[in-house]
Amino acid sequence: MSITIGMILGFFAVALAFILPGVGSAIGTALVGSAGSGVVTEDPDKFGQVLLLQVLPGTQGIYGALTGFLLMMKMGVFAGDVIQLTTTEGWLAIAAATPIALVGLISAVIQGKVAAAGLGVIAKRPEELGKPLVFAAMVETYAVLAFLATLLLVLFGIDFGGVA
Amino acid sequence: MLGLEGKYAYAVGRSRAVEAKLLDRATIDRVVDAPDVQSAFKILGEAGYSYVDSILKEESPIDEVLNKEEMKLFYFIKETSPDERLIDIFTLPYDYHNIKVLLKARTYGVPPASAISGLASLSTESINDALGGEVQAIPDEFSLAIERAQAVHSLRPSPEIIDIIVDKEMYGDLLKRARAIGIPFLTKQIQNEIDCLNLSIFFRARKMGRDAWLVEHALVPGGKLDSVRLATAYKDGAPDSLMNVLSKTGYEFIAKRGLELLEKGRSLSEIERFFEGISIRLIDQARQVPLGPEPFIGYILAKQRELEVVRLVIASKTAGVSRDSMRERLRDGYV
Amino acid sequence: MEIRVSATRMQLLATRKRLVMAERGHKLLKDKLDELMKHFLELIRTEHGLREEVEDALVHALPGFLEARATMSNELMEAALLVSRAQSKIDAASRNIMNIKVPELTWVIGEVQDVYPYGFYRTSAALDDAVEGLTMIMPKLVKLAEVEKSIELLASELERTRRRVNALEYVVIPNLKETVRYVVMKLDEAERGNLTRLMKVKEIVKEKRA
Repeated sequence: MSITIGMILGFFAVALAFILPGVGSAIGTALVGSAGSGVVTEDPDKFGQVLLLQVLPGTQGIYGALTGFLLMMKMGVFAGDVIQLTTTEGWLAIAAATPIALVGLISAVIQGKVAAAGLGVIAKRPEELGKPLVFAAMVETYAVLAFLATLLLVLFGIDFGGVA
Repeated sequence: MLGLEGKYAYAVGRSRAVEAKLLDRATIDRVVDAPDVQSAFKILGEAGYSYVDSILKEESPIDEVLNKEEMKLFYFIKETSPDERLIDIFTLPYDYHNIKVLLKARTYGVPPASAISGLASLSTESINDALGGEVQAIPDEFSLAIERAQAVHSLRPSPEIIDIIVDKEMYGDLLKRARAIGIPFLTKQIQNEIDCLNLSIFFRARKMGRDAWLVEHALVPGGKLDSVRLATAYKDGAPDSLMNVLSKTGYEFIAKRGLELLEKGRSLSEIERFFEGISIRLIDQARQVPLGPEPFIGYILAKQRELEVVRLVIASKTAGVSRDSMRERLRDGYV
Repeated sequence: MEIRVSATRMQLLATRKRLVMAERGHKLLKDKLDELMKHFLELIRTEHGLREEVEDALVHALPGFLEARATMSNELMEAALLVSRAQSKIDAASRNIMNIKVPELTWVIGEVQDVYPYGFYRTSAALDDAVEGLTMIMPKLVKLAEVEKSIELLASELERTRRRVNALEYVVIPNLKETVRYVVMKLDEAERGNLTRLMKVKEIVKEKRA
């Protein structure tokens, strides 16, 4: 089996989909986590609410992973026989992964900031948990849209001739 | 990618949590309305303030209570701050305070006893050793301050010279440390303090009828206002030259009012309230920043401000100041 | 009242002399009393004015301290006022009022700008006002001390003089007058006794001749 440049590019697309949103989510959840430990240090009862906020920036990583798996499937990785992509097809894969990779990365970090800021509300008025959750969730919209774009592109825009 | 925001996330979380325990307007009002000092302390105690045994014995143990609260705040900073140099910014004024006291006491042969602050990080013994010639007993910046104060004092032997030189050195040290810590807000806050101090020096010295030499030595460099130009304006004496220095700095209004008060020979306390207002606005801005070092430092400053307000209320209460005039005084002084 | 003097002409003369002396002394002391009173009232008036001024000034200066104390901690306040800057002294002399030594105090002070012993950091403008206010009162306060001490000294002198005048007026002079009257009466009595005796002797002699 010979390795084409297209295959390398395809793998690179998978890597992008995993790495960027994953890193973003890691940073985002870490931020909310450390701020959250600050709150929990002073008031251990708030653990549940803090956890809810911490989960939010984690979703981008999941979107990225899903995209990655889909791409792998399209490339026949699971079938055990990687399709020999042409260079153009490789670039196509990268292009399809780009929306969730970039938006996932940035939105996860930003969502982390919003959620961490929302901790202030929880610290002062724990009964108002819904509001900071909504604020943080608003950021999620754009990650979802980007994920949708990537999903459509991968599902319907790409056909490498593998099993899908 | 996150820099200071990530570094201070934990501190922000904790600050947000303890911020909820700051005295609110309603509690302050209750303290103001308390029938006597003892019940005022009781209300403070319910709000989390330290209880000291002397509350019942002494007439007003306010200093003891507030020192304890400040100590608690220092512990909080030490425990929470990701940058261990940050605590120095807040204890430094007390170190320089003790240096001033001990230097004055030694120079003029008076007992320093009750003027010594217990909140300093340097021990009085080490300062005394340094004053006695063992310069390495304290860090360089402190011994440098002592050296400079002594040098200028020898030119003009007077107790306030020690104060103004050590104060100036303190701000130099504070600025240097703040820049090393690398939090822009901290530097801005210290610069704001310097500006306010400089303006206050300008007006108070004018009212006292101090000479230009002293003012020149008292003005602190490093703020946003040019201290050299301020000194020249003081020497010059014309109101316009002050306004020139201050043009487009945002301090024109205060300066105008200050000159007005000077002309009428009235008390300058009003100007000090403006300075309070400026620093309150700065604290507010900091606390509204969602993440980063600002909310943390903002909380510390807000707590210190709260302690000042409590001092004001309790002292006024002890002195028998009426509730209405206390409220008037507090009107825009608390957030 | 019992009078224990021998009723002789010598005694009469001596007593009369003392009476004259006492009356003259009384008049002199009375004059002194009036004069003292005049000075005393004058001092009282001065003291009244001064005290009002001082109290007024204190009422204005002390709230400054309270206000300063409300914004400065105990340590800051103590540190600010640790060393007294005012190189002031009091010149003490004395002067005479009606032969009474009263103090004369003068407050010697340097320039006013030299009284503030503290820097500007964390000291409040209210403290400046208070220190300035108190410095301004100082000379008056010293003057007040001088006047009040003078009043005290004068008052005790007044009291002593008044006691003397009263003693002369109500005890010594009436006593002497009484004594004089008594002696005169005694002498007259003796005279009358003598006269009667002489007349009786004359009668007896006349009877014998007849």
